[in-house]
Amino acid sequence: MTSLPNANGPMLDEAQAVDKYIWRSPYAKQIWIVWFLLLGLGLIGMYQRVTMGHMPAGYGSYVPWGLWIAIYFHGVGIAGGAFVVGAMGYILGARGLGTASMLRTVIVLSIAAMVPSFMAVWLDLGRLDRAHRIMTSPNFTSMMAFNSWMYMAFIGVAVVTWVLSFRPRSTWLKPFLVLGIFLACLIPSQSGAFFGVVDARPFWHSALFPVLFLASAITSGAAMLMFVRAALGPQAFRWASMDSQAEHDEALNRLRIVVACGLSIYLVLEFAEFSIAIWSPASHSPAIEMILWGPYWWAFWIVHLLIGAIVPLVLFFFTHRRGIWAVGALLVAITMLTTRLNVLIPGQSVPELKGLQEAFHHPRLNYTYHATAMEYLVGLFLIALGMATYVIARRIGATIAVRLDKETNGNKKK
Amino acid sequence: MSMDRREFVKAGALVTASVAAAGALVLKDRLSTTTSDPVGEKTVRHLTVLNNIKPQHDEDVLLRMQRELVKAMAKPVEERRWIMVIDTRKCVGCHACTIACVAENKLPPGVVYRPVVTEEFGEYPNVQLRFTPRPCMQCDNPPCVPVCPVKATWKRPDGIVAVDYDKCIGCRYCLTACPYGARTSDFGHSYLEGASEGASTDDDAATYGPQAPWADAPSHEYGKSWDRSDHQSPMGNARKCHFCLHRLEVGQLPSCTTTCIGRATYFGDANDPDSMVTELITKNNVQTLLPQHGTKPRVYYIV
Amino acid sequence: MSKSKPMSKQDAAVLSRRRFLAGGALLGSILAEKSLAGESPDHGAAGSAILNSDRPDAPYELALSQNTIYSACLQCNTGCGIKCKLQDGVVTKIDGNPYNPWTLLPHLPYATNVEDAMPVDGSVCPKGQAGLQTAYDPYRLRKVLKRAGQRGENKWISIPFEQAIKEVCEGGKLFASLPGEEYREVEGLRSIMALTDAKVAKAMESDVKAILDEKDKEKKKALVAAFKETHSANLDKLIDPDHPDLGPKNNQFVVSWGRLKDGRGQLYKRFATGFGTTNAHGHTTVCQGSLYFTCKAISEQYEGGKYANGQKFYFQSDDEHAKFILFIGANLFEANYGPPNRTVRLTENLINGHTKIAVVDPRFSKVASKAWKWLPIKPGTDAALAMAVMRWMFENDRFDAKFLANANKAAAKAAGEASWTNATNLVILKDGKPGKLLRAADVVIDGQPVIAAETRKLADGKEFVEKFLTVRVNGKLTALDPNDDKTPVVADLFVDTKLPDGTHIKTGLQILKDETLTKSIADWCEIAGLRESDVIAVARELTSYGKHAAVDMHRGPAQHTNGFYNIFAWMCVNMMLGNVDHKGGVIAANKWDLEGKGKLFDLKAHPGAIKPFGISSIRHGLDYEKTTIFAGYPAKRNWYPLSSDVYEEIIPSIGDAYPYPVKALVMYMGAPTYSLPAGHTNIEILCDLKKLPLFISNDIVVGSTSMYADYIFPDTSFLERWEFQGSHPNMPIKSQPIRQPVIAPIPQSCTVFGQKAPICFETMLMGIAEQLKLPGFGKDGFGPGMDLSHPDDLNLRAVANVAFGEKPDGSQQVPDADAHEIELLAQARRHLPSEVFDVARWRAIVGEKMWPKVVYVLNRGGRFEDADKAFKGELHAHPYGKLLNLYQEKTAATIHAGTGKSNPGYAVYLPIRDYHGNEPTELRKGHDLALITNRTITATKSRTIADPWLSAITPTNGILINPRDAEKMNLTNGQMVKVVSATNLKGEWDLGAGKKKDMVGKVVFTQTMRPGVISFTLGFGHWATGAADITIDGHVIKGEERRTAGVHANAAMWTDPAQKNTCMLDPVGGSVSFYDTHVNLEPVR
Ligand SMILES: Nc1nc2c(c(=O)[nH]1)N[C@H]1C(S)=C(S)[C@@H](COP(=O)(O)OP(=O)(O)OC[C@H]3O[C@@H](n4cnc5c(=O)[nH]c(N)nc54)[C@H](O)[C@@H]3O)O[C@H]1N2
Ligand SMILES: Nc1nc2c(c(=O)[nH]1)N[C@H]1C(S)=C(S)[C@@H](COP(=O)(O)OP(=O)(O)OC[C@H]3O[C@@H](n4cnc5c(=O)[nH]c(N)nc54)[C@H](O)[C@@H]3O)O[C@H]1N2
Ligand code: SF4
Ligand code: SF4
Ligand code: SF4
Ligand code: SF4
Ligand code: SF4
Ligand SMILES: [Mo]
Repeated sequence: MTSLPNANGPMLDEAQAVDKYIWRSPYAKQIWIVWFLLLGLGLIGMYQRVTMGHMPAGYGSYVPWGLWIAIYFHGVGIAGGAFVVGAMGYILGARGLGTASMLRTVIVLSIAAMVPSFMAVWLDLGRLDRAHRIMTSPNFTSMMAFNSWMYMAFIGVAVVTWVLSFRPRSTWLKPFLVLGIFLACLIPSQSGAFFGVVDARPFWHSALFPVLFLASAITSGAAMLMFVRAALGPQAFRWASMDSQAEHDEALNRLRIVVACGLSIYLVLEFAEFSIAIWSPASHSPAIEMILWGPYWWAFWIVHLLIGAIVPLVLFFFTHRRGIWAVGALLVAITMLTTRLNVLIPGQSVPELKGLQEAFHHPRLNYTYHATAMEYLVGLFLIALGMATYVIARRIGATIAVRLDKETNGNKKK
Repeated sequence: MSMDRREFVKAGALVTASVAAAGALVLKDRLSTTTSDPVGEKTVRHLTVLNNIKPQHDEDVLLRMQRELVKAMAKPVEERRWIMVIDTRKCVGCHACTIACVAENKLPPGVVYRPVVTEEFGEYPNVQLRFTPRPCMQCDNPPCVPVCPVKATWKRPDGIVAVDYDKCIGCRYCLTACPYGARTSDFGHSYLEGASEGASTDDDAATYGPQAPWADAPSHEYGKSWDRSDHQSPMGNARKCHFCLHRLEVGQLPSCTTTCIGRATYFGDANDPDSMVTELITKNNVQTLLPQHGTKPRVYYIV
Repeated sequence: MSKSKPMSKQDAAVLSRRRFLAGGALLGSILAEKSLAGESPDHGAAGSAILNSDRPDAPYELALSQNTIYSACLQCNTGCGIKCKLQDGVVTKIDGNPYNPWTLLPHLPYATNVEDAMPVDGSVCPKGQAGLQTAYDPYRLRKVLKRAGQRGENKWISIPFEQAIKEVCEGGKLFASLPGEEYREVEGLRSIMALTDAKVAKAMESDVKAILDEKDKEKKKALVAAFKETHSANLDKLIDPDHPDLGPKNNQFVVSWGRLKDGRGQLYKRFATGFGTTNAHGHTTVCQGSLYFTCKAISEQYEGGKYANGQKFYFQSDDEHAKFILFIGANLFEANYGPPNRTVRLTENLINGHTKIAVVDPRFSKVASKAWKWLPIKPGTDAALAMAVMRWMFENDRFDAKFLANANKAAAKAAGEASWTNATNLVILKDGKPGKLLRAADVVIDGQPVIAAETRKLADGKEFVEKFLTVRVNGKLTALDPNDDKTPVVADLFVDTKLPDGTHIKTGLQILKDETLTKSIADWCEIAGLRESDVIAVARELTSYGKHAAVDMHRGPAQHTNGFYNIFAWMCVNMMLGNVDHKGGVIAANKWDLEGKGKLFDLKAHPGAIKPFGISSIRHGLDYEKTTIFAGYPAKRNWYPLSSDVYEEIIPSIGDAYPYPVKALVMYMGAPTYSLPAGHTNIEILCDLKKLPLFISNDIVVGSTSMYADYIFPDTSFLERWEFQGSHPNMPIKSQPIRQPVIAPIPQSCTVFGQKAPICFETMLMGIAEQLKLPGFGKDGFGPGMDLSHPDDLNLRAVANVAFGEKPDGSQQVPDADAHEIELLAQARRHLPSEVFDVARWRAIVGEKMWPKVVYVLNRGGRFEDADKAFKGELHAHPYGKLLNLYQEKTAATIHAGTGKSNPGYAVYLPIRDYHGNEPTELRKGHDLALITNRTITATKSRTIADPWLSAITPTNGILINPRDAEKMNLTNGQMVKVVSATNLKGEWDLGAGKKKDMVGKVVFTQTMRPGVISFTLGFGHWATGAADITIDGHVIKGEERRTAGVHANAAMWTDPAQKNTCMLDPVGGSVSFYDTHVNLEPVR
């Protein structure tokens, strides 16, 4: 990070900034390598999915949902969280988040998180060819239909705000942002409800989930925002309409606090949820026992608690190096996925009727789930897809911004 | 900066509007009672089944139930109330019903409508075995239905919870919603997987080779013809027990019922006060599975 | 072949009808009105009979009569009636045939119109439903395979049928291309068939009989010398001129089978007689042999002054009417004959309190789970338990004294009984040992014989001297003719006295009672490892329902070295209950005759048959002592005067060339290597080209025994062929389920006697017969005008015989099928090639008169009496109705060839013993677990492994063990262990050709096992039948992983220390020992 070009470099316009610091930033090579790696591996998975359908997948009929659905919920969480934080910042005019172009980067980020999420559920469907029916003949008593529509609405609002962001003086921008924030908050909580309504899975059937999901969404959303900014450095966000390194730092600092708080709140809620199950003799929860001491105990203790919470918090509060913060933010943003998995899988792995697995044998009729290579590879593809979406969308946005800017300035000249 | 009054009003308006819209949509589907199923006169079936076989006092309960079935089919669908009664005291855990169902509905590997759960209790020499067949409970309050995003599964007027494979997108939400694990998804497996690799199937071959004509034949679920070959539905769909609607239609009992060697499975119309099933559920103190889930099963167990 | 064949007009018609129906109702006219072409009432809007959608409705093909053929299952030997439902000529669903009493209770009246019956489905077990997967098994053979490697190496080439026939008949250097066999001359069947002159055979046969019947050694020698004189011209036709009783060289051709049913049975025996070999042996003794042969001994009839003509059969309970049944080692709901028919007759009665059952089994079986009491007996001690029960019955007078007192037919009739026992007949004891029955004419009381001997004539005209049996009536010695139906003799039950001349006599019942008194009830229970209180409770219950109580037993007590006497003891309990032939008691099987002798088509007629004679290769039906090869005791191998079809002797006797070497063997539908205890001993012999020069097998796949053959002829499966399933003892209804071609044959076609037919068992035999010109085949095979040139010639005539009925006057014929039915027969078979189904040909075979009746029978899947005809009042309408031997003079006269001691003629408890009469204490040392085996509903030996549906329910088996034992040995649930015994310390199958398979299975904890006893289910751990790679014509067909799952521990079962290449066995009843071995479990990592 030290190798960042100094903060008082030449003034650039947004497009140039994007070009210079994303396409051709000092990390461009690394970014490209990572991206092509993700894409290459991802395509292998996609090839398998396309040619072999669900055959190479690990989910079945007793554990119907696996990694992809977790990715989906994680993705929409990031999208929602990032939007809430970013838009709030804009409305409140927080330093470093207050400019239209900043707002755009937020919107773009949240859309870039949405796109792969949708892709994930779509690939999970038994009949890809009929995905459109959710839109054409929805059943709104279904959280799935309801959410899909809401996400569509959100994306719509996001796009509107994105367009309006080019007209910062419009009196519609903020109202739509508010609506966006409203929907964005609903998204994670509805995701929680998505599980909450499933009475068949005692572990899911919990009022706490919506709140938990919201907390984790804000956290991972903010974390992702923070990572992107920290990683790309002030320059990538520094152009005519925006000022110094200081402001950039300010923004990172704020985000850091948000992430830290979000994380803490999440842990507290989680503790509440688990402690009830563990200490109240009445409600014993095999699912929670599975999370804490099951075959995937490490996902909770190591990945989620250690790498996903303790380490980042340490990084946040024991160093001032932005780069380190970036690492911390990334850890949070990624490891939150395990919390999704730890809601999804254990909830399904506890049969209500004992003995079914022995009554009729097949790998798909199994209460244990292990994601397969194909599922992981597709996961990588989705990340690559997200990155691409982000960059391309930002580039387009930048160009438009510059055009408009030129026009207005041009007019001024005359 | 922050928001001025005008912006506040607009924001408020937008939010309320969308909440209202959402509410309306949900309410519409929650309250909607209209059935998409054929009802009334055109569902009445005047079947001649068993007309010429005169009832004997000691006839097999299969015949008695089939007569009652024919009687019920003469009523419009909305006046039938199909239920199943399983007498676990008579069940010998033979799995004939499981296989009958697999064969009748051409179920691929990993898809099962009626497994039979075997449990062992106690300690030698005071040991006991219990067998619990588990078809779909055709719940009166089926959690699998409201979760379906595309209205591909619903409760019929006769109480059967149906799936339209042509509508189902295979999201598997309903699988997670069923506490009984009564729904399984057709992932496209074949019972031939791994058999006789390297053998030819041409006319002069020395062995029959990897072919399973019985698996390729179309199934008759819901009175339609379903051919899974080249990935057509029901491949990719959620599948479940449907009380053999297609057999009821022609005056035949569900396949698991006719093949029950213990005569432990009873099927009939709960709206018919004289039917075997009505008699059984009134005479015995019957139970349902996982009542705590409030699903109101239409399958009863005598224990 | 099921490969898409051009669509016939009929198909087209049906298809177009389908399309038409697609518009409307789901069902063809058929159910609505009776016409094949009829219109269908249009219900509902098009495409929405059940659910509204754009997808059109389709007719429910499986309910259409023209898509249905009734037949009989053979996934297990129960042979339930099945209803095969076809879609475009492919069976896709198998249900129960409602005309058949196995699948519906009561079954539909026989007169029911076929269309009226069509919508009714009966119930069959999961195996039965999965049968179609056995028929369409990808590993099914279509061409003859010839060995192209070592025996057992699984390398094959496929050859034309004609070539195969020629090679096996003419022999030569058949395998010259194989290393080591370049110069091996294989003797063909033609040269083995040395004796071809029927007249000579006839003469030799009676002279050999004379030699055997001669008791005096010297005179025997003289007779042999005389024989050599008279037959000097033909001595070269004999195996050994010095031992003419070994018979002709023809005997060196052995034909054997595993599962053989009527129709094919008649053809196979015709083939053997046509060839002139006495060696045609089946698998009974691996199955429940001693159950059969004890009942045979019980059913020996007093004729010509001695006991003869016992029938090979057994009794089972009338499940539907019994009020109490004691099941001994009978696995009703998982196996037996069989689940569908026996379960439906019990479950309702069990819950409504009509019936109570108790189960004697070391394993808590599914039937035990419905029982009032479970007696977890120690394996092999069933007779001890029976002794305890009988002692209690004697001491508490809880037995049917009235029934036992009836000494002859007249008495039985007078008492309203159908059968009677010899319980009261007086037996002579020589120094305490019961032997012959006392003959009245021999008893002289104050100068007067009790009765004068009479000279009488037998049915066949032979004269004999009748000395009469003896009973005591109110203390007075009385002569007895048990068959006398005029003057009832009701005799004293208990007699123990001396005749004036000091001869010690007792009644049979007295002998039995005294035997039960040799130990206290407590001691008997101690032996059986049961609580006395439980045993007495069961005895009391058993004797609380009069004749409506029964003891039903099967393999559990039968398959031990003491099997004969276990069964004997329990059958005595039935006799003491007086329940034989009674409603709710024990009954015998009953089937419609198909041989037609003296009625319609005489299928026994065999012009020019070469009368087989000589000692059989398994030494059965004959006393060792009578033969010229008698050489003292112990004999090299056991002899079986009282039993037959001794499966465990067929191949090991070939191995020992005792009594003579065998040159060629045919094995049909049997896998002794897999199914026999210590079956691996057979593999070693089968792999030995010198001991067995030519081995021909008939199988549907490369099986666990056929894989060792030189030639495998493919067969048609049970869905492609004819057979007559017959019945089982628990079925009161007189039945004859008929197995008929349902699908097009999988094997290719061949030509025999100028007619095209599928390659199968029948054509294999007929091909050989044609090549060797065997009498009784081809033109006029059954006599003038009655050819046997196509399998249908036999089978369709057999159907006609069934349709004709038992009455020679034809008064029992079935009605004619109406026009609709006759059309239906053809419609339903429109997918069958003409080599299988051809109306003209079929009509011609049975003739115009019988044709409509044959159709009537085939359209109902056989012939079944109506349910209400099964009983006449309290008696079975088709009773056994004869003398029952509670004491067996004939048995007492036989000598155990391994010990030289005579066999007891009454029920006793014997400990487990080897062939030399020693208890296997050595073998038990260090092996603490008793090994048994059992069936599960989803598996048979070698058929069901082909069925993936069943694997979904039972993908594998395991070692069932009580956690108490497991924990002692610190084994954990699910861990893999090797089964080792004193005679298989390696715990492996040696499969020959360098292949081995470990006997490793996973430990399954279950409280259902008696501690100290472990079990495994039959049907897993396969090494053939699709489980192994096979190479045909140079390219490899991969085995299916799924089929190798689980463990088959037969190779751990003891080989007899005295008869090293054979399992332990029951020297009297012939049964193999399945439940006597002790083993150890060694953890494998
Ligand atoms: N599913 C299935 N059904 C079948 C068959 C099949 O292969 N599979 N085969 C058919 C054939 S060929 C036959 S012969 C019949 C056999 O029918 P069964 O004989 O009824 O069936 P098995 O399971 O062999 O029964 C043996 C029973 O005896 C018990 N047993 C073992 N040792 C002893 C003992 O020392 N004393 C007593 N009292 N019991 C003991 C075993 O635990 C087991 O329950 O089944 C027929 N039906
Ligand atoms: N461990 C254990 N072993 C047992 C028993 C047990 O209870 N436990 N039970 C015993 C009993 S009761 C019996 S009856 C025996 C039976 O033992 P076997 O009489 O030897 O019968 P299977 O083992 O069924 O062998 C059948 C052979 O015939 C072939 N086959 C199958 N169908 C057909 C056909 O349609 N045509 C022809 N030509 N061949 C065919 C199969 O591929 C296989 O090679 O098993 C015995 N073995
Ligand atoms: S049992 Fe399950 S699938 Fe069937 S209706 Fe009830 S919830 Fe739905
Ligand atoms: S799987 Fe099909 S039926 Fe089930 S919820 Fe999804 S769309 Fe509806
Ligand atoms: S009713 Fe039909 S679909 Fe349902 S379990 Fe029984 S056979 Fe299967
Ligand atoms: S068929 Fe009947 S007896 Fe057999 S398992 Fe099913 S319900 Fe039980
Ligand atoms: S019991 Fe089952 S396998 Fe045996 S014959 Fe009957 S249906 Fe077939
Ligand atoms: Mo058997």
